[in-house]
Amino acid sequence: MASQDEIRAKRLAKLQQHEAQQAQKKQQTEQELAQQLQQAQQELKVEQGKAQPKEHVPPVVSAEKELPVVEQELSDHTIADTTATDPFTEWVLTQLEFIFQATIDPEKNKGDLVFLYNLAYELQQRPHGQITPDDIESIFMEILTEVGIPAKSKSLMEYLYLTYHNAFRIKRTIPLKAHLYQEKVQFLNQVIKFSVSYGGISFHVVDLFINNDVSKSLEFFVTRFNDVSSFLFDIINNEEDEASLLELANLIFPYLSFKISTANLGHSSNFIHLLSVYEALVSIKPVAAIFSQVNGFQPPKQECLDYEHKTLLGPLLRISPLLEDMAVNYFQGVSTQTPMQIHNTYSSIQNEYNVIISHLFTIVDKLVRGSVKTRTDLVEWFADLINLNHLRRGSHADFKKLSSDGIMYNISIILIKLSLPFLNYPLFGKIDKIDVDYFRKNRLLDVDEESRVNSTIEEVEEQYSHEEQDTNFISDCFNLTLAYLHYGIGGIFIKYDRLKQQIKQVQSRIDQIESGQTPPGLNPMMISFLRQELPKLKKTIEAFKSVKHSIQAIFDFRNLQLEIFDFIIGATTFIIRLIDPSHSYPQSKLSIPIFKISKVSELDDHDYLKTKTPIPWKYYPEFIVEGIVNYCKFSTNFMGCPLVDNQDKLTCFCEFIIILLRCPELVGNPHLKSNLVEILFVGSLPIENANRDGFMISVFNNNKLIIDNILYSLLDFYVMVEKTGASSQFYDKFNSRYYISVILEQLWKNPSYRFQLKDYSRNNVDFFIRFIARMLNDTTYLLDETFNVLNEIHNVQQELKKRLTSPGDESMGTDEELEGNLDSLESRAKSYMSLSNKTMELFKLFTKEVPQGFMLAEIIDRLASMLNYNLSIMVGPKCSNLKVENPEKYNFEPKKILTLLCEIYVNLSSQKEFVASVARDERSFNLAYFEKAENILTTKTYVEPKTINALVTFARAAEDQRKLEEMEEMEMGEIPDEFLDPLMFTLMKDPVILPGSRVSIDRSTIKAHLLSDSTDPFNRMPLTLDDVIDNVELKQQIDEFRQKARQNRQ
Amino acid sequence: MSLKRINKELSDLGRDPPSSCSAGPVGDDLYHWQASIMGPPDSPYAGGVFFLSIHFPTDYPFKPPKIAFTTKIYHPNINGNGNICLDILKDQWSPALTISKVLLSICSLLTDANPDDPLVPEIAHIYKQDRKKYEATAKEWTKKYAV
Repeated sequence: MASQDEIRAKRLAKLQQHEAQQAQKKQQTEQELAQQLQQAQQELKVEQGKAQPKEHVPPVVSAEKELPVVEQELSDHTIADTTATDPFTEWVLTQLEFIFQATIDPEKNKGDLVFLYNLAYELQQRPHGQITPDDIESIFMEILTEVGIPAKSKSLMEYLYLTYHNAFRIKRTIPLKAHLYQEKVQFLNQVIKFSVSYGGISFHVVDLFINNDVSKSLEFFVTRFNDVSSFLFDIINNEEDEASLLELANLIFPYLSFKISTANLGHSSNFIHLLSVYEALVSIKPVAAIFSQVNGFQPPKQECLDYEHKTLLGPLLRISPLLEDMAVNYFQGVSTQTPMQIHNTYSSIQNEYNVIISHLFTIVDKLVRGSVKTRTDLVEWFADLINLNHLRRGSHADFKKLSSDGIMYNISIILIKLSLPFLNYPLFGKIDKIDVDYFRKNRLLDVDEESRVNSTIEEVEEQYSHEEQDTNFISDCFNLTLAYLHYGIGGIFIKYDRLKQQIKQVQSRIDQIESGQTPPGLNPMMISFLRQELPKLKKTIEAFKSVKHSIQAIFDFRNLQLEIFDFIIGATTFIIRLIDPSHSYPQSKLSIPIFKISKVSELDDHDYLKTKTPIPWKYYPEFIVEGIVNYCKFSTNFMGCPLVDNQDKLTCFCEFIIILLRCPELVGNPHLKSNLVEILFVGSLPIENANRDGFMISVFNNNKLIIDNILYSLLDFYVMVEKTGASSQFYDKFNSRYYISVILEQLWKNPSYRFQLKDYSRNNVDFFIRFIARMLNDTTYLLDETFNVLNEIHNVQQELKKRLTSPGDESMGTDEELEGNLDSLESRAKSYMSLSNKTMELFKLFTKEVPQGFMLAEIIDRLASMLNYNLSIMVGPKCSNLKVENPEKYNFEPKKILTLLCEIYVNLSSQKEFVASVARDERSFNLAYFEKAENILTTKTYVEPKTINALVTFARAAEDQRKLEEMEEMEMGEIPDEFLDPLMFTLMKDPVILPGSRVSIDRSTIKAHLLSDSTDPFNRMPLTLDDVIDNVELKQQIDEFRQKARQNRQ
Repeated sequence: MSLKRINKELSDLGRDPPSSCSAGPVGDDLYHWQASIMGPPDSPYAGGVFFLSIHFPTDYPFKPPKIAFTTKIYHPNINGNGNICLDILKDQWSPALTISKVLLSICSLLTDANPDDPLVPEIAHIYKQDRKKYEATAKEWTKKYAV
């Protein structure tokens, strides 16, 4: 970059040269100028050979049209000059008045024309007073440096434009056959040439001319840009080298950016014009080529807000309806607007945004194509800015200190538009141009702290040398876009959720003040102070609402959202290609699973799976997927959601999700997978108003890859989500499992999924049981919690009721405490109830389909106890404890739960083992409960009598079995301690030794434990069923003991 | 299926009771117990007796018992409903643990709170910033509700 000093020195030199000229004789000056002129003429000839700005070659038609007007003008000025006899001179003197507004006629030395003494004197000295094209230079010089421009012209630049413009007009009107055609045209070309060159000089050597004011010149160009742009272009094109072009650009662009940064964004007319000026200027390739060297391209400090406000591009790139200033303007009085009005505003925002973004895109696009230097610097600029904005995805982001949503969203869209040409659906012909080793070779994006797809940061550091290598623009652009998608657009999601919260909070404060419900303990002064806050609060809420609406308008804008999704499809295709061992996707299909596990326990061995993750995918930063997933999740809240009614691309996207979920080695982070599942959940939800299936259902029913893999993926994740590693993991899993249940419920309508489940239950028992055990755990826990909470609600409600008439139980707390307690209990009841309803329904579906699948020693007793216990809660002696007011508030439908329980019992009743295990349950099994259930189901539900009969028959069979077992047990007598299972204290049947703790335990107990926890319960060391050792000796002793007991009995 | 196990725990408790706590069934329901803990002498809860309810889920001992304070207590890891934030009662449970061991863990939680994984962030904040104030409030509550 040329330093300021250099430029200054150059200017100074020019000035000194100019002063020296002044001091010398005029003749000398003329000589010099003549030389320059010659040079200029030559240049002009050269330039005429090149492409010319439009006006140089006037279209014939328009010339003819304009002819009469000009002739009239000319005739006005045509005054016979007595001294001039030469026809050319005569013509020139006429043009002097028209083009230059100047004269050499002393009598006309008044009014609008300026009198040229020197020229008049010079002509007098010549034999015939003849004027030649060589005199043009001195005419200009005399006007610009000595006598000054005519009063009518407001600025020097306006005057030069006038001479330029008028010369063109005349030139257009001269017929080819006119007398002295060549000479006249030559003369006019000179005028044009000098207008342009003095226009340029006026920027470089400001003091050379009288009343020269650069800022006036700039203002002139900007405000009248549509008329005068060709003149400015000629000036720019006339700059002889990069340094002087840069000098000019250093004046123009900072001025323009300043204008934009100070424009009132309330009205688009204020900035759209400025954007088109910018766009026109950077469309000149040499300008775009040096753009990154213009002063102000880089921010003074590497800070978010400096990029936005103190650079050339920042003020442009931030313009967006997402800025509070603009949003507030769009939605004035939003609180009182009708939905229709708001909707109309959405449309105008969308139209206007379309204009803004297409200008901004063209500007960046032209810059990118300007030169390698501009492109490289611009890419770096974008990268530096996003690197500073990682906190936008933080939950405590201070958005005031970070880049605005405006600039982030705009750059994201621009980058997407730049990326789409090399991600063209459906062939993706240029996708191989994206460097798969980008993050190893290139340090542009700061990914040092990023969590990786399936490796630790330390592993990445080990793998990646710090040696940088060249990468192409396509790769830069692609990865930058992904970073912007995550941190840029992704920040908007956090902002949006926060806005919803803030609106709620402020609204409740406003309501409180307006209704006079001030918190107790406030004195009148504080209350009046609160009242004074009201207008401020109302203004705040308006602003919040406006920004929220703007976000909605942008995400409702389907065309643009479709483009974002197109990019996402390109990105997912790239990722699948990266994962594909043959790297040939999408030209050939990818078959999954890629890595085939040899036994189910490998699914839970994350360290082992990590060794199978493909390289370099393993080392990729996770935000690559996160940004995509978060966007898709967020977009489903809006009308413009590009996943809907976009079947082919949606199919690609669903395939991507299923590939990541189905191959356990690909993604390590359960949260990420949980988000993937959540998208499938949203896509499965039936559209209630329209009585239609969820928008993904047809994909789930028609795409082979998905049909073959979605069920396995979901059942696997149902288990995997148990351990997310977060402190909230115990509760996190319920959400994901709720989503999975909803998806499965929808899939169930398709017989091929039911068939698959049957197949797993028979041919992949380990996998099936791994899932069933989790489902059982959840059902047990959730129903237990739900009933406990209902019980507590019951107690609190009873207490509150009692207090209406008599003093209550003080130990339960004050009335306020009880009310607060009730609130929190109610919200817990609501969420637990919906979770348990969902799991129960899933249980019903599965037991109906594959009852024999549940008949495994390690789960069947738990299943039976769970069902019996819940039946006892529902109909047993304490069932009145569940009576709460407004049960529908928490979706608590006792009859529905009872029906579900009954159906599950009946589904399993055909299995002999089930009867036995229900009978074995000492805790809750009671024939009377079944009889009571029969009564309720018969009188109060629509359950078929056949089903109810089956339930009762089953219960009687179980009761008979129970009596039998009770007798056997009695006869067993005292059991030696060493024969007892150390956890259950029952007589062991098949004792095994745990290798780590050396404890002997029954095989069924350790199996049941390992279902949900793969450690030795006595020392927490990792343990699998394969590790346990048969305790043959002990087994023999126990068998003998049993034998003896039996003999005694007989 | 857990009847024998629970009976065994009950008899062990009777034979060898822990020094600062006790536990046993409420009425004739073997799966619903009440427990009491003496406030540890080196804690602001000293002098108080705290009652807890214990509920055995049907999948006990594979899953943890549900234990909650019924006496109000001021503690960063115990909330207004008496719920306790203790890892062994959630995902660090092991079937080899017993009610007796869990009660001892709760005792030590009273002596050493874990303000980094709080159930009541406000109390945790005071615990960290102003230990004197925390101790004073805890003492006051103990006096009010647990003596």
